[in-house]
Amino acid sequence: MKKISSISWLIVLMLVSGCWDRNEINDYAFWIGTALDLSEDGNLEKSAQIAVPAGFKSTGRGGSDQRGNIVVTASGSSVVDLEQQVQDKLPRRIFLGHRRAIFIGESLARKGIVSIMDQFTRNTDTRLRTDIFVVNNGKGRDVLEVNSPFNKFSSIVAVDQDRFCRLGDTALRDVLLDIGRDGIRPSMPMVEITARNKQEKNQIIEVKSVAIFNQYLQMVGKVTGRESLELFWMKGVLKDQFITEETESGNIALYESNLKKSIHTEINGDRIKAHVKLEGIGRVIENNTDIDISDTPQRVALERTLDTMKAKQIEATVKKLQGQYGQDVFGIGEEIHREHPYQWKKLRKNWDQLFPSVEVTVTVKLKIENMGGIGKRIPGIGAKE
Amino acid sequence: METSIPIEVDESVKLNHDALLQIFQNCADIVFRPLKLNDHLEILLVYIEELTDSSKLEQIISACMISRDSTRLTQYDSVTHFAAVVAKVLKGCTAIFIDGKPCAYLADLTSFNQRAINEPSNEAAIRGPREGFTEDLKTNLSMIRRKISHPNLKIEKHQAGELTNTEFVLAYIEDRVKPELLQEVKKRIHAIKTNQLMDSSYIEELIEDKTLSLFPQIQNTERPDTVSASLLAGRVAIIVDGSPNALLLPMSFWAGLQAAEDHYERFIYVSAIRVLRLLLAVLSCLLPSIYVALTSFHPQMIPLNLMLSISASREGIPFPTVVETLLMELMFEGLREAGLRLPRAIGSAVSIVGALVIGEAAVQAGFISAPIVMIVAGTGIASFAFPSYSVALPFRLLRFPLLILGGFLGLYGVAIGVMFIMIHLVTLKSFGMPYLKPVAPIGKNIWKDTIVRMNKRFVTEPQKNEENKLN
Repeated sequence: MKKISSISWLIVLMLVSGCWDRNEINDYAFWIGTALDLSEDGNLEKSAQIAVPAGFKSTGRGGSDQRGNIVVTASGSSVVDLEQQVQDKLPRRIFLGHRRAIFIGESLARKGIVSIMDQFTRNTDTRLRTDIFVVNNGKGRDVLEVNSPFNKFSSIVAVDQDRFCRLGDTALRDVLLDIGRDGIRPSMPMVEITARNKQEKNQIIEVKSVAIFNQYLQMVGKVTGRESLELFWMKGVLKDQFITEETESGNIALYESNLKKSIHTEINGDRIKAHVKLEGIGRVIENNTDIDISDTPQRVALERTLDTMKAKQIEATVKKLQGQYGQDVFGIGEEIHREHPYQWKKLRKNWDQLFPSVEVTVTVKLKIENMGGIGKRIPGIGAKE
Repeated sequence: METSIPIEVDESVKLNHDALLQIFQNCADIVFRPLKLNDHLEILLVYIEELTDSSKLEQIISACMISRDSTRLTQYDSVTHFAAVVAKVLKGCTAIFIDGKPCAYLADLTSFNQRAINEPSNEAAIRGPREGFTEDLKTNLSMIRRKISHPNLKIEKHQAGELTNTEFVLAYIEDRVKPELLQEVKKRIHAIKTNQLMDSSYIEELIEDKTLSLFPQIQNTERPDTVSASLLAGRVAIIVDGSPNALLLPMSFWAGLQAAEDHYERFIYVSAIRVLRLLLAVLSCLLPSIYVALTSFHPQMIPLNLMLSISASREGIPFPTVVETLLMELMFEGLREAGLRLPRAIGSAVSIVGALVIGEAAVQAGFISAPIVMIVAGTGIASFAFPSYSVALPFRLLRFPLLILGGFLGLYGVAIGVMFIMIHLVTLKSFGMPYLKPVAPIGKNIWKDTIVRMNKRFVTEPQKNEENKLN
């Protein structure tokens, strides 16, 4: 009898304390992407890309014209208020746990995103593996409305694209971490819609730039293309990249992986020096020069030329960033903090003023490990015999 | 009418005849065959026609008649107790009473039709011996004795069942078995009080530790090689006359996940298969409940694309996922039960209809979502992966309470359910041996032959009582 009563108490306890939040999977509105923009009247505008599973269904059977998602827009003053407004427009409970990307319109980014970011750190529904983008010269909502042929959700397309050329879905985490430090300024990848031909129109988005923020989380500038990759390499978050170099006799392209960076700082009175060492292991994929890579002396010479060229390029990029924006997106301040913790206490208050005057020297060490040679070279290039 | 039945066999054949006639009243199958040797010596043969090899009997009788000598008959075992004579006759012996001798001679001329030795249908093996136990105790014992030809293999005869008088034997290997275990088994066997013993499962039910547990605490097998191997490992076997299933005890949970073939195939492959079996065992129990818990409580744990597919296939489905899964699981179990005992020809028809109805029509009509069909089918396949049918049963049954827990409380509920099952398994004992031994409590020989099987070269053979200490 005692046993029975204890078991029934257990059952009651389980039922009373259990999580009664059962919700069928098709009663959820899966929120895949968010766009935050500045509306014309200066309010915050939030757009949500919501999955429509019924439209998603027919993908397996090939060719349906349905989008698989809808974009809902609301405008107001606070992000959470907007969430409520979005919910008001939907017949299913919104579910943020699967949000993959956040797009911030450039005008809003330039105005400042402090009031937006706080919500991401507090709302437990936010997953940290979300990517965050600034939309170059456009509104976030436009990106959500892109109809990519590869995936029903332009948000996921952007994340995947970012993964293959920049950071991938760790961007929000990285940005949040950077915001919390004082020796580094946040930077985030940018997407843009630039149709180059008819087919690309409304279908293709591009991830090629990086937006640079100051400590008040206002966007101050951007770098594009090669420079943006160099920025991430120096920051230490880039894993691999393609490098194309022009030598005197033609261009050579490498696929660089195992990218590493190490920064060493020196403080001599007022002068702050930073030595950056960048390393990588390369595979040659294009060689239009006369150099025979299979010949070790030639290859070593090539490696040296490439190293110095690359170092010069990166130094130029750093100079440009120091001069134009003056924001330490590389984390040199963090490195000083680590190596000279006591001096850093004095430096950190006016780091934004000091950073442009930091003398940065870059050494690059690319190792050609694989010359990518299958068969003979195409006759006419580098034929020496 | 009531005349006392004598205790001892009388010298007079006439008296014995009368007494037996009284005992075997209305037993049409008992034959009384009075003979007269040399015209004066009265002889009475009592036997059951259907259980006796009549040609052998005739041979003996005619030999006596020709030689005019009864010594041919007196070479058999003599019994003086009347009750023993009756018991033996009922077992198929021929009782011979000779005038002037106060005893009965019992000739074992038993012969009856029995099933031939077949491949064990529930424990088939691709490699290894193919013989399986039959219903005849003697045949079964012969199969074991052929495998272990050593005097240390002890076979003790017992009898139980007041009406059935069923014989059963206790087999063990003297210096391998733990004396306490043997003592405990004997104690429980002697405590058996029953009228009938139709099958070994009757004994199992009467002597097992926790009869309310879902998990079998005594292993049963149809394979003589499994029995022999278990005997060598220090276990005790109980073989019941009339039952093709021998009992092995003590049983560990892991025995239910091991097939006899595991010891014949190469060990790396076997180890991989055993890990797979364990995985499938867990799946067969947890797959539906985890699916339900994840989809209705924790959608953030499912990868986005998978979840969108599930969500898409659930569009317009009228039932909640729990109900849906429960319905399909019940349907599946019903189909299985229906197909089990049907004649083979109809059985396949049922499974086709079932598969079509459940798999295709229900999804097409939009009653059931497609992932559920996959989950149920996967669970079904997983539950067929158990080498032992009786170990698969608790997993089949536990699926349902876990499913309900998962449907009402999410992963929290599943965790509670699993916790209770684990607590039960850990506390369960089979004849003093922990059920999960050697995993919990962890033992030295955990890697020898439990979850994986070690190569026989690396495993030192148990010497005398050494193995017992480990157990």
